[in-house]
Amino acid sequence: MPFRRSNQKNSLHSNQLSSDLSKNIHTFKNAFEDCSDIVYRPFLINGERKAMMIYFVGMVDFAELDTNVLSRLMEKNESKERNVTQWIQEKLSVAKVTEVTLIDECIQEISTGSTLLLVDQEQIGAAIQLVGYEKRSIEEPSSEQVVKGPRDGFTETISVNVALIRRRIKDPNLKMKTLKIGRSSQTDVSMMYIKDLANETLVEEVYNRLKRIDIDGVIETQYIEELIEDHPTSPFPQILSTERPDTCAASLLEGRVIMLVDGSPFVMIAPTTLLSLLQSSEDYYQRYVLGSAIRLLRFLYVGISLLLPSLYVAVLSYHQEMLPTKLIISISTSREIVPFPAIVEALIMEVTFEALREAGVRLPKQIGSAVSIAGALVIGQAAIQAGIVSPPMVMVVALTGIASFTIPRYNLGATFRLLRFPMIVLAGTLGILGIMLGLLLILTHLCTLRSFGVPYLSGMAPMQKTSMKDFLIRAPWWMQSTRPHFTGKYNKFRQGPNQKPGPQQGGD
Amino acid sequence: MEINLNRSEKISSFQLGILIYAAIAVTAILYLPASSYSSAERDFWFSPIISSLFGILTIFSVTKLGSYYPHDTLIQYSGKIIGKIAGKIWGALFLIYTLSIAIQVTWQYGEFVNAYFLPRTPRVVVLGSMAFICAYAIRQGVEVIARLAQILTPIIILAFIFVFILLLPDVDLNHIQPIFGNGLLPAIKGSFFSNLWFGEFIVLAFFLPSLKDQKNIKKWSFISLLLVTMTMVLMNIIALLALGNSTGELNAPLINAVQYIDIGNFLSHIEAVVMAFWIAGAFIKINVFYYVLTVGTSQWLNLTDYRPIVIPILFLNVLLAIWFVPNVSAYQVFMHTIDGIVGPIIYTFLPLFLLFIAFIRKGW
Amino acid sequence: MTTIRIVFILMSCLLLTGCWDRNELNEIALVRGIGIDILNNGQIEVSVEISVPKAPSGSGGGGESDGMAQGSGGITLPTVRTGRGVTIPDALEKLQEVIPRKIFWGHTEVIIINENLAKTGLRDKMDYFMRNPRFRLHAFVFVTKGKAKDMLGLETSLYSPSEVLTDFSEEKVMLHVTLINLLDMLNSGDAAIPMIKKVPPQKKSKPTQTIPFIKSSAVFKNDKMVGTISDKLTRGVKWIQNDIEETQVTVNSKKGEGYISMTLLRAETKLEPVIKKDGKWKMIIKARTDDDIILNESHLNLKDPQNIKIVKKALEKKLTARLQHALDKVQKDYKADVFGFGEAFHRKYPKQWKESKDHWDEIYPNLEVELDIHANVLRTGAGSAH
Repeated sequence: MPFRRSNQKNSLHSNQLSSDLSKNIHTFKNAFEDCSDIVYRPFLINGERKAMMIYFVGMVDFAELDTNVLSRLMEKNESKERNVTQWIQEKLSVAKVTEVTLIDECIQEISTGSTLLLVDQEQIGAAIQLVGYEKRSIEEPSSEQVVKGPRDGFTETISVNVALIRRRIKDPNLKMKTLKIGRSSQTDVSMMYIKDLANETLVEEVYNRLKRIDIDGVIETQYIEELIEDHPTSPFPQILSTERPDTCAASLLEGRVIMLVDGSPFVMIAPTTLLSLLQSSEDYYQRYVLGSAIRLLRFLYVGISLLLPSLYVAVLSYHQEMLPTKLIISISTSREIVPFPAIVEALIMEVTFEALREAGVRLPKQIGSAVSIAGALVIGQAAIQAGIVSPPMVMVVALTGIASFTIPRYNLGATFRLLRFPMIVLAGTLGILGIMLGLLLILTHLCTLRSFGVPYLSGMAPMQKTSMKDFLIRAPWWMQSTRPHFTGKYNKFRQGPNQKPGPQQGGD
Repeated sequence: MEINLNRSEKISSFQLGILIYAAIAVTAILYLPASSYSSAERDFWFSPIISSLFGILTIFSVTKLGSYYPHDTLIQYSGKIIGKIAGKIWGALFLIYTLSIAIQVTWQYGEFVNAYFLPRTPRVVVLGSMAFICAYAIRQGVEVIARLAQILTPIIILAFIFVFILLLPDVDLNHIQPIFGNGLLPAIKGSFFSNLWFGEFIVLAFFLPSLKDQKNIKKWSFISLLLVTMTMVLMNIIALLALGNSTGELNAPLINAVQYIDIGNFLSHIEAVVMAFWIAGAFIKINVFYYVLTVGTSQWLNLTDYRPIVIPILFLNVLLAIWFVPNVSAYQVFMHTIDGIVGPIIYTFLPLFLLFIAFIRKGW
Repeated sequence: MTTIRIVFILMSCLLLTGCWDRNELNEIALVRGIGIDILNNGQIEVSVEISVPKAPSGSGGGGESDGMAQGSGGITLPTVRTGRGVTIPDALEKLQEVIPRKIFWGHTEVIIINENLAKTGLRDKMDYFMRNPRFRLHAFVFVTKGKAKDMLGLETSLYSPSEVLTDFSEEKVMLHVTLINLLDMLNSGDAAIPMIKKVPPQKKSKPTQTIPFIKSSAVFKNDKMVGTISDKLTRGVKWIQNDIEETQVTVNSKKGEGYISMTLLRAETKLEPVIKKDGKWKMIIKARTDDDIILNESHLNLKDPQNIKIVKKALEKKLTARLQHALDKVQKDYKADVFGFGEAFHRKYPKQWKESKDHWDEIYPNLEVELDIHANVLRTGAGSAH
């Protein structure tokens, strides 16, 4: 599609349907030229009126179409109905049928899977929505698994996804606005929020940013994400993507806005803070003690995944006095035959590890395990024996790898993985000073970030007393009586007072 | 935090309090203890308590002036109080002296890194890399600086507490006695050097207009003052208790005390870690002083925005920090003479004088 | 603007090529211990014990287990190298010439000083270590009668000599003095430093196949060594310094005709300086100790409280004698204030101290010392063989 002509719409088909059926069919045959999957099904209504059904094969439900449309319209009886509106009202036992008059509309309806019914001498067509394409059933989300918690995940179909959320929040205040984005793809993009919980300016801002998008196609949420975020050049994700309806429901209750994109099992949540990216939904499904402990462990491992290789390089090249004497002697013995400086060694190993990880993700499952065995055992062992790397370095890299898997959001983990490399270079140049300077730079950057106007580090800076209950630790539910602060103005309390269970609460 | 799409720069009193704490406390524990020890000996830990009087005076005058002119900084309202020309002269004096403080802070950071950790790394790299990050932060505005302080200060305080606890096994309580063996006079003499640090509370004047809750600032700045005093006293005491009479022989006793930490043969020589935290603190301090310097200068020159002059002023600072201070001894002489005398005059007494005039002009 | 930014970022990348202070682990020589000797011509000889990692054996075609074994061991050979010069840095420069790797001070645990050098004064020699920011302030300081170089060169079987000495110091049976302690003592009074000796080697082995150990203590007046005290007296000194942690005391009670050994549970010594009304200075040493009996070879029946009392008396007597001996030797003979008496007076009587600080050298040897020792026997052990 020629792109620079973005503003002028194709005015070719914007006229009305003609009352001449053959003329109409000619128009559509022109529009869908060279589309071998389109079907034109002529038939007679009531045995007398010429009619035509146009649809894409594979996008409609044939059985339903046969029983509820074709057979009912074709059967002969002495009915008085003479026009499309009446047939829709009395004959078609299909839940969703809309009347269309514009050719443009018709083309869009056919493209999105409806069946267009055209009748001779009628200027009105009926778009029968009997969409019946093959879709994946609801499965466990593969990228965010939990031990305890719901096991359903989003699918590629937006209507199913919306239903999954509605099933969790049965509140008429759960609002949804849908836009079609993408000139060719015509993708349904919906935003959902709970009225009175979500900040109105936020809702408006999200809607405006979505509306501004002008692109040929939206295949995945990332397209949208990169077109609406506050700081497009930042390495940090400013919108949370999740496959889990429960996470979405929880976010909605916190006053956030979620965005669904048809064709992607990921749903975007905004605004997002760094802390919410570091929280796994399971933190809330386990007992709060365990949830808090796991969260603390995660913070530790985030640090490790970002810093461990660079610290190792810094200590080995600059601050050898920091390690206990015996340990440094043991490391120096094992490093004696390694010809590279620590920084080169670290970079070699890190790049190898990233390659292994990437290969493991891309390859079919059966071969994937072979890669990890070959990578971990054969290459690692051989590299050590050949004196290319030292055993402590292998350990450091492996631990770093494990640490980066503890970050619950893949895209945030990827950011830390990427930042690890400049940190290693800094550590190799200026030692711990370099690491510190790198950290300060990252931190300053984080402080400047905002996600839909909310500071990225909310909770830490600016600090709020209430958000401390859901920060380093996960306080028990009966203590978290307020919502996150960015919606506090609207509906502060999320539960009734005195929710702490106890003997004085009655019951038994 | 409300959803804020039009980015107005507002910070809270609490944020300002911890910002000021970090900006003052970090350098006060480095070279200052040795200077105080040289005249106060074992009572040098008490000197900050005496000096905190200057802090009280400074905070009092600055917050009072701030309440008279809630939308102006020191440079702006001084012209309104003592007239345009006198205001400009006073502003120039203040800025020049603040420049010298900023240079000293930069120099201290560079010297600390070079002397203890990276002796052969060129000074310009050490200072330049830091100035680069500071320029990035300062250009983002006061909110970002405040947030940085909010994240880093708790970590720095934790590091202080950690050092304190780790040094406890090496403590010998006898080292501190006799307390006031020669009366209070030595401690007062020792406070001569630390007065400047408490005068540095004057930087508050440049952040007051960005506050969203000006009514709380008195509370938080005094809490900040209390914390600064406590930090200085505790760090002096722990260095003294661990190092004893050798405290006076060391340039930066606390660093040596940290070097001396040896827990179970594996937690030893952790000064590089402490350095890392100290650098985080120095980062805040440098940020604050560069911010004051750039904002002050831009207002003195009646510029609408301070951002264009951030880079030139940081560049000037780095160059001067490399050229201006030849060695530690020169710095210490400067600290003992100019900073000891001029510092309190410009940072404490002149603002007090301003307040006095403003008070008279405003009437009761 | 963007081009300026890109140029600026590229320029700052150039800075990263520096690595000015990088010292790879296999380019540095870890110094474990340093020994300082004085030669007859007045030159200083500095010896360092360095850890040289042992090259892994047969890398190609060796046994299968080779690859793993080399990583796990941490096998090093302690080596001693020497350099001479007029000052320590001067000697170190010569020393660096014979060490292929850069000397690294961050792991130096031990400083050994030759007795002859110690007699000429310590302060100037310690100055180098204080000024070097990389040096461990926790390094232990020793004095040896022979050459410090020989001590570092001993072929200890498993450890290096420096490690042996560190372990001895950390046992705290004898004196243990770190660099900072030494500086502190030199500033406030006089110092006592542990003195080391070789354990006599076994007959069949070479004379160097042995370990060093702390035998006695060197006493310093001002910063010059004035004499030595034996291990027994050292314990007395440690008592007065309130530095006793774990020790056994054996007494021989006349009445019981045999030895009784006790282990010390707790000991606390306090120095109580007194300036009497007539202006005379006096020091009261108050020692309190709790002990358990661990061996009874005497005829005393320890189930009898009366006999415990006898043991107690004997213990007190023994301790008094021990402390008195230490005092006699150090205070009267060497006139060195290693106990910190001066400091104690300074703490309690700052004004009087300020006046008589300069005469302390005259006051100290004639200072009246009173010993006030109370021992307590808490338990007599779990059972007995009698």
